[in-house]
Amino acid sequence: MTLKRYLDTPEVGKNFEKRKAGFAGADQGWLSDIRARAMDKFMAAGLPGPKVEEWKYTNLGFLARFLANENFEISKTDPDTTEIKMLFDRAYMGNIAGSVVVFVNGHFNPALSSCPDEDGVKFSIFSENPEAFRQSLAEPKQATSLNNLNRAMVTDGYYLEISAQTTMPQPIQIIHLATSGSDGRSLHTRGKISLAAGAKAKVIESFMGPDGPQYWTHMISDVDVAEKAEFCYFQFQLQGKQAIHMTEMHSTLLEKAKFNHMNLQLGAEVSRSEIMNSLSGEYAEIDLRGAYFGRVKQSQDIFTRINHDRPHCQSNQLFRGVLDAGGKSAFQGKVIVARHAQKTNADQSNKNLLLSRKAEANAKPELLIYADDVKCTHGATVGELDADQLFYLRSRGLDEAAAKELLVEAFVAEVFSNMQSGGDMEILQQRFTEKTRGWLSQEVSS
Amino acid sequence: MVATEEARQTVKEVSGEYKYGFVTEIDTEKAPKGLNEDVIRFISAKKKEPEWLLDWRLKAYDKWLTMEEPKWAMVNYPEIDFQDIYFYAAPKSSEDGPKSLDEVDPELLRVYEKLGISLKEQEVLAGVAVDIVFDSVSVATTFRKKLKEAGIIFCSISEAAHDYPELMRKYLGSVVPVMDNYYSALNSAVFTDGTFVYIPKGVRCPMELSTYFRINEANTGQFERTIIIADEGSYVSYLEGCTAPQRDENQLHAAVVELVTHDDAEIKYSTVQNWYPGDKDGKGGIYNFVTKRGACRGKNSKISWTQVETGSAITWKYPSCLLIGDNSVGEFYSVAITNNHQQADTGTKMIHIGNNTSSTIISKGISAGKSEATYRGLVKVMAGAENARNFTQCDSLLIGAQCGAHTVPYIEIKNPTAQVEHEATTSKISDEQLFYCLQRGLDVEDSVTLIVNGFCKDVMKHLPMEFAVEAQKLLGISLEGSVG
Repeated sequence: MTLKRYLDTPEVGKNFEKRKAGFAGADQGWLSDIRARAMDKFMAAGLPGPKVEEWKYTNLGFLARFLANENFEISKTDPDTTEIKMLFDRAYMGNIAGSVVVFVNGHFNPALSSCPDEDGVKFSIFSENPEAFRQSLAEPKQATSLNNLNRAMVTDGYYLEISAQTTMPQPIQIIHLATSGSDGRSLHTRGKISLAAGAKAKVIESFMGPDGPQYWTHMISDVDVAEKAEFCYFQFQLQGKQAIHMTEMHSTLLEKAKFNHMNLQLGAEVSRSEIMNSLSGEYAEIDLRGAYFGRVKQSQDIFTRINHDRPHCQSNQLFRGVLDAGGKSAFQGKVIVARHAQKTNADQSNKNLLLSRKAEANAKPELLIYADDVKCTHGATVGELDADQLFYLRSRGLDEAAAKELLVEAFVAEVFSNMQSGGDMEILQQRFTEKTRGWLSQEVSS
Repeated sequence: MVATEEARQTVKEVSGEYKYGFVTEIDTEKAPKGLNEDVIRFISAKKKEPEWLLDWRLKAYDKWLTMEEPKWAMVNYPEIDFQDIYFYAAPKSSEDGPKSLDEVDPELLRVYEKLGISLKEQEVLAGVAVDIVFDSVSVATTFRKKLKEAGIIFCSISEAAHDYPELMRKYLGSVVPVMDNYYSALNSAVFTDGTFVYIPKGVRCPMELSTYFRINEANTGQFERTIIIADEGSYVSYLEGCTAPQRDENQLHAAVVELVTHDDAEIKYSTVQNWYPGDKDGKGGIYNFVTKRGACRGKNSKISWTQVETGSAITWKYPSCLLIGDNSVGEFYSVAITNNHQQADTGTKMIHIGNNTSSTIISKGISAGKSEATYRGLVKVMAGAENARNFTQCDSLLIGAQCGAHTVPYIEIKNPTAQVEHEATTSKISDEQLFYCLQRGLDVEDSVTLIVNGFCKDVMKHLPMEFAVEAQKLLGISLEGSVG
């Protein structure tokens, strides 16, 4: 069931041995133990193959080449600074003032960062203080192969703690950049965000890299939202055209906690976003939204899971996909309502637009329900632009490209409607629309 | 008792004409327990099959040995010991064929009576031809002549192997290949009986064809093989009804059904399945692993599956349509009711291959007691399939807090002209609905039956009249004891 044979090259194991000494926190015995154990488990299990249900739509066989690449070192001190500056400018949202944390090629970059230091906020960087990550790197109950790999190879990461009743006035921007020098490298990073009771915070995480190099960004984050805390998270993926982008976020919500997650996938050749959530307190609310765009060999895979473990919780999922020539997408969303989670309210909607004959959309919206007093719905559609709508706009004098663009924009705009968050999100929506507009006009005109 | 007399009469009449299956040189009525090449040879010899069919079976057996039992369905059951199952059993009373009324096993007639099915009655009521399968061997066939006049072939699969070898060779395994899945390979190796139907060009079958399946003998697996071919411009409606007397031990059933429609042809296949679901504690019950698939090979052809699944401890069943011909239509209407410890993982696959194909999926799942019902379906539109259209609706109703209802749809679209919609809801019977019924003087069970029947109406209306009545009663019986 697994792609073990891809790891049969001796280089993979050898590489790990060679890299060991250079890892952040290599002097910490507990960390080296974790790394070694996780690597053993990864090597034993291999990468999940296409017959593993969760990976039905994304084949990982090609990843082995990253693991076997002997030129894994990326110089931390000698990044092409003009390139970094250029990438940073593209990713940084100056109009949302607040602290900014920058990682370049999987390593924290102090020069570009201004870490949060408000009262009631504790911020740690893995390479500076690995001890803070001891708990989050401990082996989870059911560690997936990729989770093991990430724990074995973790290069850097951040830990954001917000203490009780603290409200972060501005969003925190976290920017992950990859440079041209990252070709063939895998960048394994880690995030942890924890909000104590009644805390409120917003985080905008962007991923950016140049077209050309094929690098593999692999990030796993944990999110804890305690009682009555509210967390708003925004992922903006603008990786280079050849990049491999994989993120995995695990969230746990306690009583009356709220979590809004917005996930926008525009770049990368192969992208996979896993958003796994547990509603572990009554009256918790989660709102997952996202849009993904795919064309020319691009594959976008969104994988969500919401565990309704307690009664009276609410979950909402809204994902829109736009696929153009050569683009492929998969939306796999699972809602699991546990036996006693009565009065659960769960909605899930996934709509896909195919703009070309060579586009492909896959959807698997799953409901697993073990309680009877619940309201759960899901809907999924796949189709092309409505010819009548196009005709209407054309008859009003719009040319075909403009008409298409307008319709696509409207199709995606639903993701932003009725958002329960402040003005920052409007700025984000604007920025997102700018990007998609560019994306569409390129595509439509060609 | 009049009806029973008539049944005896019919059994006598028909079995007199039955050429194969009753006369045999082998003394035993049962193949020894377990599965090996000898058992397959035994079955084949018993059926007096041609050489090619035996080879086909043995090849299937070889392939089956290399395959693994599928584990992806959401059903739990103890490991099946295939060496502890009888793969062939003929009803005792049929060995020489009943020569007089006294020779008909009264037990057999009692079963008919208990099930409320008298052959004559059906004949009169609905003009239905009945091919009864009682433990793997056909015991009675009616209306054969009338069908023959229309040029329709309606016979057991063993007869077809003798009389229509070209048709059998052409269609056997052509829709469900041997290697399709574990149970289809198993069935291909050991199938013991089933029905073969061929409707010639331009013929509209004058009556609804029907086969009643019954599993009677303890420990006997039932491996039916049904092939229905509708040639150009023909139409047939086929009813499959299943009832089984109460038994303690789990029984395995792995049937394969293959449908083929050519240009402008239509097959309507309806099933009511109420095999023994096991007792209240989940003891016993039938394991039902069925592969059903229809290929719309011709232009403007149509295949429609309607099923009401109320029985079996385990149901693993996905009636599918391959929409190959242009403008072909696939339909799937399903009601699956589970109670007590029943588990049902059922759904459909609609594969759009030709242009302007359309499919409709309406699935209603009702779970009560400690049961689990899963809808699992695939809608696939190939890159070359222009203007495909699909509508899917899956509704689940939960009765009680101990049961589960799951929906696992797969939607895979490779052509932008496709319009595919899927929607699903899960809910329970609302207190308001129940209160309204109670207030009008209905008791709780009647109210639930009424509400559930309303919930299933979209599917029930697609059943032929004779089935609809039976099915509505079944809904009530299946949900007995689930409320209050």
